[in-house]
Amino acid sequence: MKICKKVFIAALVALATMGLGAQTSSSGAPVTLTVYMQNDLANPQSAYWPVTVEAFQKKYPNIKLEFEYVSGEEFHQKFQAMAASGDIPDLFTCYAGARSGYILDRGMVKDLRPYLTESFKKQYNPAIWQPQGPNGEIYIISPNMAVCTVVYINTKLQKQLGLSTPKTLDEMIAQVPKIRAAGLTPLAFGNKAQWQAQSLCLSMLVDRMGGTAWFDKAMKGTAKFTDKPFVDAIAVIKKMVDTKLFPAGVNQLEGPQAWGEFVQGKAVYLLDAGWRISALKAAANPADYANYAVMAFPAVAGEVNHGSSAATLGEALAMNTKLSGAKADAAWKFLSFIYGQEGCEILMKYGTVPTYKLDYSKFEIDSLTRQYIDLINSQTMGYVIDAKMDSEGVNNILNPGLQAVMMGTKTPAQLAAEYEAWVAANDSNRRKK
Amino acid sequence: MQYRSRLAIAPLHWRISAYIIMVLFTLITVFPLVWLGYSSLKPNAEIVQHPLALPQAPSFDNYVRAWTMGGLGTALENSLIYTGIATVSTLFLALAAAFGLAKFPFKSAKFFTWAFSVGLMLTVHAVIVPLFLAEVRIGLINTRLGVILPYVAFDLPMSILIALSYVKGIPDALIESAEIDGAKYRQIFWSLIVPLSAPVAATMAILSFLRHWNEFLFVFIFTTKKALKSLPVAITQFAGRQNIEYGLQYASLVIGIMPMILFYMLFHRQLVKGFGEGALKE
Amino acid sequence: MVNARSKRRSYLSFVLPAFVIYAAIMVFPLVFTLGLSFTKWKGYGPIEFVGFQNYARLLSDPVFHIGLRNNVLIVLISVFGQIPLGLLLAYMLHRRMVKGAKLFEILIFLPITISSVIVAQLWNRVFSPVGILPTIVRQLTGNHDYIMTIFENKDFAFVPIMFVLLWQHTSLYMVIFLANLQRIPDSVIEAAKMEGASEGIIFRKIIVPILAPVVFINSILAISGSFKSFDLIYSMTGGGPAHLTEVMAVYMYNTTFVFQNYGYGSAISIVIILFIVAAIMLTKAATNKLNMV
Repeated sequence: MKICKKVFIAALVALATMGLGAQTSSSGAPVTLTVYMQNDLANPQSAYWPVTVEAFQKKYPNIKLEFEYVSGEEFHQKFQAMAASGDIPDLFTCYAGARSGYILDRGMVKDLRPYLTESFKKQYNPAIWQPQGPNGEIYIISPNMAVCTVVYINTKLQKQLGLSTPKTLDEMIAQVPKIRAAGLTPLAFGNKAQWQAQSLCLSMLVDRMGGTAWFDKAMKGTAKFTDKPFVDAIAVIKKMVDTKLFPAGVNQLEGPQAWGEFVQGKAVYLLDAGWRISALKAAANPADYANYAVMAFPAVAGEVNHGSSAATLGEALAMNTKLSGAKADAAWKFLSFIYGQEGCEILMKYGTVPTYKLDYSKFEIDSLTRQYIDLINSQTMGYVIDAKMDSEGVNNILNPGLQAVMMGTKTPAQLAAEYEAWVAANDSNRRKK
Repeated sequence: MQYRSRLAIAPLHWRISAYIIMVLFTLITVFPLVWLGYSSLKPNAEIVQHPLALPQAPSFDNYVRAWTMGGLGTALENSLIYTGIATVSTLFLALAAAFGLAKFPFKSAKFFTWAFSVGLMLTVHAVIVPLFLAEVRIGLINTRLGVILPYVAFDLPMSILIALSYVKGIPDALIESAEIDGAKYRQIFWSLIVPLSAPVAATMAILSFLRHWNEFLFVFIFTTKKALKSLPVAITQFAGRQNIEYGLQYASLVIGIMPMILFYMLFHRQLVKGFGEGALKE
Repeated sequence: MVNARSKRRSYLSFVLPAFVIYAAIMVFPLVFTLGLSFTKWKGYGPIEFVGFQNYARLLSDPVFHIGLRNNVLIVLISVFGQIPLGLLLAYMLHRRMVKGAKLFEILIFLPITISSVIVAQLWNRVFSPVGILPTIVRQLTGNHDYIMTIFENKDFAFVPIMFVLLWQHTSLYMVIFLANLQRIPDSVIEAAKMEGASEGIIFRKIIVPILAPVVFINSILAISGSFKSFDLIYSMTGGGPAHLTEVMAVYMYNTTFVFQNYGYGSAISIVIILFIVAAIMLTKAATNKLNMV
């Protein structure tokens, strides 16, 4: 009954909005939307965006868009100030989780469920319709799953050095002397910004060692971060540093510098997120790009969960809860365009695999992207720690602590103990009853 | 000038060490800038492969792209507006306050002077959140005034202290004789204090200009429209860490540096004099 | 006595415009921050009063202690690095010990005009593992793995940043000293030379004492600036790796805006101000004592 009612309401609202839409577009009154977006146009990953916007403007010339792009941590700083004032733009980048707590907890984000008809939802990978709020709210239509760990391979270098693709981490480590002797980096990775080792590596390793079942317990407090899975996962990172798998000075290397090295053919493997493909595609020489392959992080001794990665819903634009009438209508048009078929086809062309189910046969999918699609369809996904745990514990203790472990000034057990102590005393997950 | 040459006979070992220190320091100062300059004329691939080499075929391509992609033209205009208006307002507000504090025999002057000097110790971050909330409430957010007011406020303490020591040095007799002539204090300020303070005013203006020009946080937080961004904000948002096109990044950094170097070349003499005066007077 | 009243009115009309702007924008927010420092607040939702808990936490917070240590290092490099070096450079230029002094002066002054954010990006391009300095060393030594390990050294990670600070600010003091040196009559130096005083003696016994007040004011500026330093370090390292290059203002920023712990962040702000006040009072006391002797 309940579901029926919901569908009915949704259909009504959809009808109403369609009606409204027809009205506004026929009356020709232009609507202006302000958009605050986590984006850096100079980042090759953003190459798709101007194309998307242009396509939208062509279709809806009456909807004017005013963008403000801010990237990195500054995005959140500024948004918090805006949120504190109660005055936020019409559309804005939102994360499905703790990172956007400052707007979600205040109820500033519109629940999109009234717009989401079953037929609309069916077009997407069902994973993105997991509840995003305490009452089942859906705030964003995530256009892609943020798969945080994959290993990219430069097969040309591999062949030159006579290496085979490693099945286990130990096999990969065994290749280090040969790669180093050739003056190359075995596994490119940059951790200067501090979040990478946790987001792009530790999260996956924790899932390998303990799985999401263990992590759920650790969040509730029935398991602890001093438990074996967590400590072992940290120890793997330490081992990767000690065996010189990572580039020298991994903690001084910016992320783009690290994958820049890979693109320049100075590294055989690259440890990075799945969403890096579009950047690699934009930045690499096409002939080199054709030689790239992708695989799951190799098997780790002692893992209970094989071949898994860690993933979270990729961020997306969300709607201001205050929007109504013509503005809300225009905003929905924009969202359903950029995250619907038209927008996702553009995404696909620029190398991002969308959550929108596309007929892949219509696209010339390059081999790297095809491998990636197959990979993520075959693996299970663990949690990304910073999407689950409170920011202070992650950013003040875990991330810098991982750097300390990598530099040898802290042991994995020490870090685990420090983090557990903080979580036990402060983290909101443990305070939930 | 001739006595200087007589003085110049410093002992040899002093001169040798002077040369070593000077050349070393200059190299360290100039090399990164020169490297930045010529690298910005290279295409990205060349920068990556031969980071130190001179450009094979120098091109301003990076500049053209940086300028249009980053919207740097608008940003330059905004920077000039913010900096210009804030500098002039600070100058006159500070001179007026200094006149009041230095030349009127009221006890509260001591309190005001103390209160202004507290401002020297405040960090921008300590007040930015409450200030933002206040600006939103009043409706100053996303306006040029909303940026200029904090610029002025943060610059006043330093400017007032510099102006104060200078205005104190203006002989009371001058003011008294004007008073006897029946001039109003406002007239005295405009026709006596302001012209007499011209040298220190130049110092204050230059120091203010420098500080405002490079300011980042207020513009970043208090404006959300691209049309209101200043040059440093536009450049860092566009040439941030995610950008691996070094050529583009270097070009935009040079664009950010150039106006100040020009400014410095133009006002070099006043600047040096200004720094000296600013610091000597207690 | 009508005159006195109008005089008072004129006085206020000169002082108040500046004071009102200043108070509205700096003093009132500061009071707000002071109040917040006794609370626990994540920037929204209920504000919880916690008394001195935030201040107590500062005493046992290792990250804050690293930040404080690094701030003290900045004070030291400013007062004992930038200022003396600036004085030395100014003296050498003033005495025309090198040819083309004007050119040197102009070139050395350049860094002052560049914003810290750009300076940070510039030096990152020099120091990073893919930057020009390691590249040069690698080409010279053939060691392909060379990186600047100093950034990862527990005790010395802050040294490269101190170097950049020296690079950035020494010329400011140089220019200030240069301007003031020009006010010293040449006859003073001449007379000393006649009496056979060596260059070193002239510098130490004549120049330095005359410039003592300038040194004092520069020190105060340097100290208050040092405790506030933010831009350069935030853009260059963000306090990392592993908090090694943290300074108080960067920690305060992260605590407030990233960790969303507004109460604790406000407490750090207040403590920064207290440190500046204390350091300035100490400097004043120290110079008073020196003048007495």
